[in-house]
Amino acid sequence: MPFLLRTIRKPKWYNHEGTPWLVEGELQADALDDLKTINNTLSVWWVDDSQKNLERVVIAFAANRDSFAQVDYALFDKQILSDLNIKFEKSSGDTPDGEVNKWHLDLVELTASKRFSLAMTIMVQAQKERISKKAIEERIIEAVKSKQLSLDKMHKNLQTKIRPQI
Amino acid sequence: MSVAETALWTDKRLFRDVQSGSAVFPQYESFEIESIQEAEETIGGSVIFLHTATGIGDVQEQGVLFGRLQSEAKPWAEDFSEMPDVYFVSLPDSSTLPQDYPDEIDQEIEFLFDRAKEEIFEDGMESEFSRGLIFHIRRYGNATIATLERLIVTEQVNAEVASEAMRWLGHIDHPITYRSRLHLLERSLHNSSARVRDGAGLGLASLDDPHAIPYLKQAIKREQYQELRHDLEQVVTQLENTYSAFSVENNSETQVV
Repeated sequence: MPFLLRTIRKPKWYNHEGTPWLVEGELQADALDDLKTINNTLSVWWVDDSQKNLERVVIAFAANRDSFAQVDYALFDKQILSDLNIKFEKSSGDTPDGEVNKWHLDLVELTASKRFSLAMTIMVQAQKERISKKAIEERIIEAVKSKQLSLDKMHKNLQTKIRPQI
Repeated sequence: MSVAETALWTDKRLFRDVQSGSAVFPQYESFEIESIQEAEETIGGSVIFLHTATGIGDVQEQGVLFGRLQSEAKPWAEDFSEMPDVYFVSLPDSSTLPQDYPDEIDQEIEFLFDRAKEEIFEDGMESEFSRGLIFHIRRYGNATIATLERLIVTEQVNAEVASEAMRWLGHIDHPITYRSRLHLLERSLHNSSARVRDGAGLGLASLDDPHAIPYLKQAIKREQYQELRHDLEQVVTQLENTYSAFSVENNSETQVV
């Protein structure tokens, strides 16, 4: 079963052990910021069963920002969408990696309760990981050199930093 | 054990590095002291000294005013390594203080933090807060860091905003404030908020300075939350790799064939 990836900020997902006032089993309210919808739609990325394309997705996402920074992400089983009765549609992503753009999905017709259920499921079931800023920078530069990423589609700040290195 | 030299800080926002000298306070020179009382008699006014447990040299290098004050009555330890972090500042008459920085810095930074409570931050993306923070650092340098230190170390500001500040303190390229930013990040590993500790770890990862390794290792020993401990360990691994790469480079440069 493939996975879905959503970028997050890990500290917002700390459980009661990392957040003393939080009751066990509860989620910090701030975590819902990471599932912000626009027009009741949430953007996620498809990752294959073997997670072979995971790094490429993360790098493409990171290359779409205005500075190098770590990437925190939650990776969860696509099966969750069926379990929660969440609809999804393919839609083109907007990263500097044309191939990764094909792996973009929109979760649509989201209700407040579905959004909340998704958050709770992510809290319990998702793998939450971090790729460091240094690793991101190195991988982005490699990806630009190999033409996996289009430098011209990246923010000027990143272009300025990358150009001297390629 | 006597103190060979000491750094004296005359205002919570202004710094005086005895080693480098400064035209701002020509009357302050480095001198040997045996006790707080002796220093007070020499300088006049209330004198409290800045120090770290690792030795007076650290204070002289960093040129940063730390926010935690100790009582003047604190006994002078025989061995500095046994002391907890002890912080001192020299407070002469305010009439002798030059006004190089506006009094409003503190207010401006506090206002910046206050407004930022409404922002939702995204990694790798600038925000009103980050732009304001960078503006103040570039304009007022270490004075801004001192204000940040006071606000963050005494936990007077929103933890999420403080965490975001930590990230940008590591990210900004500003050599003049490098040491003070490094030190603030190291100190923030002690913060009671896991978010701020995580932010400090991220800031230190950005600086990629092996100086932070012992601070991170101490933080890891103390850290009860496994997930954060793991993330801090990741930072240590990165810094140790940086240190190894630097050592190999240096060794190969000095090799005699």
